[in-house]
Amino acid sequence: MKLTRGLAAAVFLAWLAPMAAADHKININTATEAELMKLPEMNQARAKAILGYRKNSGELIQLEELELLTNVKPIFAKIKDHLVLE
Amino acid sequence: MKTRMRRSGLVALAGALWMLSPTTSLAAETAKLVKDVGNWEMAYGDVYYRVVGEVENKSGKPLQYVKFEIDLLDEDGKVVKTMMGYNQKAEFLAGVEGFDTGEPAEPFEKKLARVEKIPAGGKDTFRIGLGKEEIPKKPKFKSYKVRIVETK
Repeated sequence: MKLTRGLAAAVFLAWLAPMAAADHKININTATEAELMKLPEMNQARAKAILGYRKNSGELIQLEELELLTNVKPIFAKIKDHLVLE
Repeated sequence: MKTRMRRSGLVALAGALWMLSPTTSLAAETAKLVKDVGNWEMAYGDVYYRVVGEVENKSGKPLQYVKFEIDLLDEDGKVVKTMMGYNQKAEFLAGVEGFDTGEPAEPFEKKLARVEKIPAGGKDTFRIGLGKEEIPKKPKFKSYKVRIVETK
């Protein structure tokens, strides 16, 4: 009985894990500088470039727009899976 | 008798018009899409989404132009925006992006006379795009589809 309960809990947690991971994704269209700084290899200059782009060109339609920013392009592959567009 | 003659005349006329005019079904047979890729570009501070690619003349005779339509599709495959353009040698047929001289537009047939034809078996590139402000923000497009809609 205990084993069954333990197994059920493990399955439930495994089911929950991807949802929790998805919740941690950053919405590129609303993220603050502090939130952007949590991304891998992000620095202040890159975060400011993203905020500046958003201010000038409006909300992003596709994440690939970030590749237009010369200082963000080199890290795009590393950050794109941590981002969502909403 | 008169009616039958009139009807056969109309059928012949319709057939002749069909043969003379470029059609969508023929377009796909006379020109083949070789490659295409979509990219965001920035020029003079403005952002554009452009699809660039290559088309091959499969008609067996010189082609004056290949006309394309590119659908931007959302995640459900629904069209959110359609852009239109021509192969590079004929791209001025569509006018110049963001450029308006204020002069009266040159008639299409006159422009057509200036087009450098794509030789039989030859290839040409195309570059068709839209300014970001013309692309709907919602629903956001996820992919695109290139269609050859007309050749001449």
